[in-house]
This record gives sequence, structure tokens and C-alpha cells, in this order.
Amino acid sequence: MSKNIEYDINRLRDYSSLFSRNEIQRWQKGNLYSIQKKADRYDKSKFIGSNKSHLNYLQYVYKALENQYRNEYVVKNSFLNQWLVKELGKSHSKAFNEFRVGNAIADLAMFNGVSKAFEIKTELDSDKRLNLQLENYRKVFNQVYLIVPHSKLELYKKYDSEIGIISFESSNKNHFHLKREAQNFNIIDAVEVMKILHGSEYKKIVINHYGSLPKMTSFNQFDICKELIYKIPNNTLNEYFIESMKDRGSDNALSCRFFKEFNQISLALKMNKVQKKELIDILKLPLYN
Amino acid sequence: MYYPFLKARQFELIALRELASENVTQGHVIPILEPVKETLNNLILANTVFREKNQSAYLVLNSNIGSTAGDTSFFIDFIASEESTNYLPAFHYNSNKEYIIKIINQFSLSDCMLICGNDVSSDDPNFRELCELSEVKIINVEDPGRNRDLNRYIRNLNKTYIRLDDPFEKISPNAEYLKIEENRFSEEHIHFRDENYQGFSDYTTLPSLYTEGGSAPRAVVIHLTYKKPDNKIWIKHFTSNTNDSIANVQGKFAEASKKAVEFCRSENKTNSAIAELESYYDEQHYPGLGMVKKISIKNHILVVAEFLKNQS
Repeated sequence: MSKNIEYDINRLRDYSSLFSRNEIQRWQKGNLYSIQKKADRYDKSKFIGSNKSHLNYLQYVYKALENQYRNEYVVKNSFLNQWLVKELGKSHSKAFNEFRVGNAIADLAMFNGVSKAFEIKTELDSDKRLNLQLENYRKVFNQVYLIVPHSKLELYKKYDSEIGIISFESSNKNHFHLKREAQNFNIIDAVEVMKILHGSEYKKIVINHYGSLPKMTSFNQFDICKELIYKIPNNTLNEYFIESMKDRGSDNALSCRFFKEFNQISLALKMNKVQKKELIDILKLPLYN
Repeated sequence: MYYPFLKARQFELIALRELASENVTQGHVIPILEPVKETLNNLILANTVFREKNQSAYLVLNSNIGSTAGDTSFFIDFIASEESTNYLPAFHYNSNKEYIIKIINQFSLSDCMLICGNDVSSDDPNFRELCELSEVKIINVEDPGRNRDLNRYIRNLNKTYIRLDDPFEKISPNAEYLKIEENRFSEEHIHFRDENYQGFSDYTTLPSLYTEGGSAPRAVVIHLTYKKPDNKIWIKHFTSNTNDSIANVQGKFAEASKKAVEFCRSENKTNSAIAELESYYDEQHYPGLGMVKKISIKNHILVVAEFLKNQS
């Protein structure tokens, strides 16, 4: 319904503030005031007497953003919905929002049979840190992808030719196109892998590979396990690393069919299926009685 | 009397429970607890120990921070529902006279604490009305030296008047503490009586600002306060050296605790918090960052309590 209306940029910016971590944590506690406020400010006449819920209103707002305001939340969410959810569905797999590697944080990371990092650069982002980011990601990920607006394709093509590129149309509803396949990086950097693994994770790898843990204290366990992990053949270590990440945290509650507007935030807040359902139930409260 | 102002979180409350169990705070220390979440388990556990050990604590009923912020009745309902409680009511004053009076009357409260910043005007009739209520026994003002009118007004009320200071310097990122060996921390414990206060308050060795969550740190810092021969309290920041990534927090703790334990042993500093730190170090056991915070809080309260005990 919002397709034909051109919204003022300030209104879109105001809308976009609804999809943030703090807002959603407030909704989870039953405080829906912020949604009400935006509806009162912009859309009261459209929704009053319509029996629509807070959820319906958020879906309406999301659609407006998706059509006209492509910030990182919208691009990331569309990419999750149109691309990653399908890939994740195939097998036991795990996705992470914001995955730290060295001095950089990948926007999205995914682990199934291989490990993949995704870096999103919207029209609003600069490429200033990109070389550093890519250098870090390729140390531990088997494939690295850049997600960039179609208009900036030429700029980003100049970067590391082994990096995959996916482009999206800024003006239109997001359609993602694979522009360049990522090359496989077969060697991962064990030093960086050790920095990512939690204590319980690297201990589990040592047990899986060597059968047991050596004698150690919590003070020296990192150094002892590190030496053992450095000796594991690189392709085997890659498999252990991927398995560890797939086991980390609870299952993702992503869906491309149900309430796709909230995929990104449920990933960011590490929500499981039950928590996501609880949130949706809260949002089903009517906006105007 | 010393009034350490702490968030009502798990490790803060464990520190206070342990201190009460060791019978070291009674008579010298009354904590003020500010809730940050609507979870009551830790407050209930602490109340049990406080009752058993005859330790009181103020509970802020209208917290300024976290998910419980605001003039609500959640925490007074909790106090009222407990069969017996050692929690005393405390209120933040932010132009909310009606709320405070309503709660005092509804729950027949006495012995209330009023906490305010130094930006309150002594001419504010609402504030004066509250201060002059017989149910308000104690007034806690943040950095009161900066508002002399207010200072004079409260002093003349002849109530228990305490000052709140924020001597802990939060430095970010944590690794920057490596550059600072130690700082002067506080001397309110020496001067508060001479300056006509009946007590003093601070946020112990924690930052006053509340932040939720947070990720794994690059550096582990053990903040330990200690008393110099002239009775002034200083703070040392024992900081890990390997701070280039978030990996191996256990190793970072090993580095920081080595420095802390070596200092305490060479200077013959000891108390129950330091003894606990020494045992982790000697057994090469990493107890988790919550325990590091607990040790730091306990040590500071012990340093102050011991001074006050020797004065009395």
C-alpha cells in the first residue's frame, strides 16, 4: 500500500528508528509506546478504526523502508530473507549477526559445510576500512562476499579479486544478484581461529582430535591447547572450527515466510523460536481499539 | 557511616552478603542498592543473610537505570510482600514529589532516604516539602560542595546528611589502565565528620554510569584500593599485559592477578577479599570476571570499614 507514495526523508528516518535493538527489547517487555507514537504522528487517519495490530503497522512501516530507505538494517534483512535463509535451510547450519575477526567485524557470518563472511556496504557507507576488513575475514573464512549497491559495482570490483560480489538495486525492492563467485580459501589461520574460539570450544577440539585433555590449569590452558591445535592439519582444523561455530549458541529463529521483517533483529538479539513467537504475540495487540 | 552505592546485581549482592556474614560491615556500612532489572532472586537471597546478620540496606524504589527505571511501585510492592525485610526505602528526587509522598503514605514508610543531585534548588518548594517530612530521615546529595545554598539548607534540617562522591575514574578501553599505576581515590572517610556530614557515599571501585551487557574485554583489570600511612585511600589498577585481542581471558587474569598478589604480599596487605584472590592465583584458577568485580568491591568496603572501626 505504500508503494506509490513518496515519503519525506525525515519521516523515513523516523520510521527506521523503530527497527533497533533498544526498541525491540522494549517491545519484548510489553512496552509498545514507541510504535503507537509513530502511528499517531504519521498514520493515525489510515489506521484508526481499521482493527490493525501493532504488528500490521510495523509491517507497513517496514515496507515503506524497504521501498524507499535502504539503510543497513533493511539491506541486511532483505539479504537474509532473499538469500541466506534459503542457504541456511539446507542443512545443520548457523548464522551470526556481527562476527568479530581480529580488528574487524563481519556484518554476517554463516557456517554450514563451509564458512562464509558477508560485508555489506550500502550507499551510505564508505570503503575506508575495507582492505583491513577483507584481510581479516580471509584468515578464517573459506569464502568472503561483499554486498554492494549496483551503482558502486565498479568501485568494489577493484578490490581483492578472490572476494565474491553480490549486488543489489538501491532504488528498487531488493533483488540480489551474484556478480562474482568467491574463491575458496583453503588455508585458515590457526592463530586467528584460537582467538575466536571460547575455552570450552578449543578444549572440545583438543578432546575430539587427541582423545583427551592434557594436564593443565585455567591459567595455562590456552597456551597448552593452542600448541596442540596448531599441530592439527589445516583442513581438519577448518572442519573442527566450522563444527564449533555451528554448535555455538541456540538455533537461529529465521524464517523467510513468517514475519520476515524481524529476521535481522532476531539474529542480532540471538532470539530463539520461542522468544520470537512471544514477541510476535505481544505485537498482535490492536493499534487502535 | 559509609553508604556504598551499588547496582543491585548478582556479584554486588554476593559481595555484600559475604561481608555481612563475616560481621565486618554491621555498624559501619549501610549499602544503597539501585535495581537495574525486575528480577528479585538476588535481592531475596541477600535479604535472608541481612536479616540473619542484622545488616540493613537501602533499596532505591524508583531506580534511574536499566529496565526498571521510573517512578513505579514494583520494588515497594516487593518490600511489602516480604514477611520481614532489612531493606529501607530510598528515593531519587527528580521533581517527583507526588510520587514519593504517595508511596510513603500508601505503605506507611518511615526512615526514608532522599537522594538528589546538586542541581536541585534549595528554593524548590516541592523539594523542601519532602526534606521536611518526618518520614525522611536521611538526605544524600551528590557532590554537595557545588551548591552552597542547598548545602546550608539541608544542614539546618538536623537530619542525617550524607555526601555522594564518584571518585572512580572509568577509562576506556580497559587496557589504558596499564599506563596508570595508581590514583588518589578518596579521603571522605577522614574528613566527613569535620565537615559536618553524618556519612559518605561512593560507587566503590565501579563506574557510576550503568551500561548493559558489554562484550569480552581485551584487558583484565583488578582495581584494588588500599590505605596509605596518612589514611588516604589510593587505588591501584593491576592490568593484564596481553591485550591485543579478546582471546584467553584466563591468561589475562593470570597476568593481572600476579601483579595484584605480588603487591599485596610485598606490602603485607590482607583481608578476606585479598585472601580469596591469592587462593585463585596460587591454585592457577580463573574464577570469572564477576568474581573479580566482587573481590574489588569487597576489598574497598573492607578498607573503609576497617578505618571506621578503628576510629570508633
